[in-house]
Amino acid sequence: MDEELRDQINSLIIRLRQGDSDAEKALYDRYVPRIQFYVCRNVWSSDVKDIEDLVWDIWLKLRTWFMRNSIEASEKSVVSNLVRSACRGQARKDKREIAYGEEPYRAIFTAQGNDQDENKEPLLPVLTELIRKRFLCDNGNVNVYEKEKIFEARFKNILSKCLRRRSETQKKVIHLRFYEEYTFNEIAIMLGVATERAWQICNEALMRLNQCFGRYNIRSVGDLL
Amino acid sequence: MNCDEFEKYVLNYLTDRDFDPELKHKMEEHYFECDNCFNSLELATATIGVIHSEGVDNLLQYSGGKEIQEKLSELLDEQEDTYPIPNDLELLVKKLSMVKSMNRSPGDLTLSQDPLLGARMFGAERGVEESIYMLGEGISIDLEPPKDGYLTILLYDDANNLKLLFPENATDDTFVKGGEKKQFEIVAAEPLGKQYLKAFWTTDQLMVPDKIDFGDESAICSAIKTFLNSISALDDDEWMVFEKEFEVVKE
Repeated sequence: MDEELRDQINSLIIRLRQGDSDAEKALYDRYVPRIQFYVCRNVWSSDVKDIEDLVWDIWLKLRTWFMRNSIEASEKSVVSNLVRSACRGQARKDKREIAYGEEPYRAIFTAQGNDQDENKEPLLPVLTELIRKRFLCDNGNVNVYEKEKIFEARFKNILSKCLRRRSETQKKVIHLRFYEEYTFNEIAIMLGVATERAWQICNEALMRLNQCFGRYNIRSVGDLL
Repeated sequence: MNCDEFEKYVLNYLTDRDFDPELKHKMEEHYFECDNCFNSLELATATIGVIHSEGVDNLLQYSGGKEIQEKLSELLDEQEDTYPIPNDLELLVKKLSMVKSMNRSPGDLTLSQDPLLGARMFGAERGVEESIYMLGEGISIDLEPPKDGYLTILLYDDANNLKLLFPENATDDTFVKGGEKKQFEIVAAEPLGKQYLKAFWTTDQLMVPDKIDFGDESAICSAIKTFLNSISALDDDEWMVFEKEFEVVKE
């Protein structure tokens, strides 16, 4: 973490201890999305509500830690380690399955075709639902339905423009991987290339799409609103 | 882990069942600290989510309906199509017509040891070189691509003739290895006057030799047209062009 960012966060932590609700919101907005992402990637759960409960518990633990500690220059990755440990502890307490070390696979798309329990939610829908909820439901006075329509339309519109700028091969690979749900092995056979090459094409396409969003001033999901 | 490494592993982090746990842990440490990388991770997730639900083909045809388009046009007004299409490429497409008699045989492409030209190819300077060559004189081209990619070479003149110099056979391998020199030699041929050589390096293979019928001029013409259109859709760092301008004169 660079010095400037660390100073900013420590200043928010000091204000949090003084009861400043804006500082608390700023810390919450910074860390809770990361905790959500972390929990989604590492803990199996049956629904989004489950994840949200766990995220909230971890946030409270982090907040308690902030009340007594600041982020020191010597403590590399202190917050992520804290979240990791809180996530592990809380998940075990709640008898949830977690994915450290042994790394049980969680399918990104659907359980179909994978050797995982079909009752377990795959990763992608949970993540996208959390992202959607975070950006669409935070302002009570906004027409959420209208907001969601614009959000989705804007996203699809820009994505459509960015996709047009990708090569035919890249478009084909991301369609096969993300829509048809073929594995890179299968895609490699279809294209007559090595598996590693198929992965490279897909990764390159994804990075280029992200860069292309930047050209439309979209640097985070929140910028789509 | 730095931001470049993080970007490299985003796809693995999101989709790979065998992703190295240590790397995964490092990525998690990184996104807790780095706002840019966390934002791009979320954006990539949302992008995969939309592609997963819509499919690339549907997205390519997406318009969103009249009402949505009106709202979007207000939002995107100032951001519409900021991608420049290189003027010279448009010009080339307009000028598209095949050279009938360049008096050149496939054997013309031979190794050259011209270090002077080599030093200038694909370097920081993308300037235009100008030289005078006698009819039949050899012109050396020494290319050094910045990274792995594919090469296509075009030649055109003031009379609007355009020729595909490389690839010239269905079996030509257009792949070029980054940092390695690729050398060519062509022979200065008619028409007399100014001629312009453009050597394109692209990250993707936009010109596929075994899909072109090199015996059919209209097929070559169509391949060049498609190639130039595809180039104009690429990002700046996905292609590079070296230009060499020269004049062919009689002895």
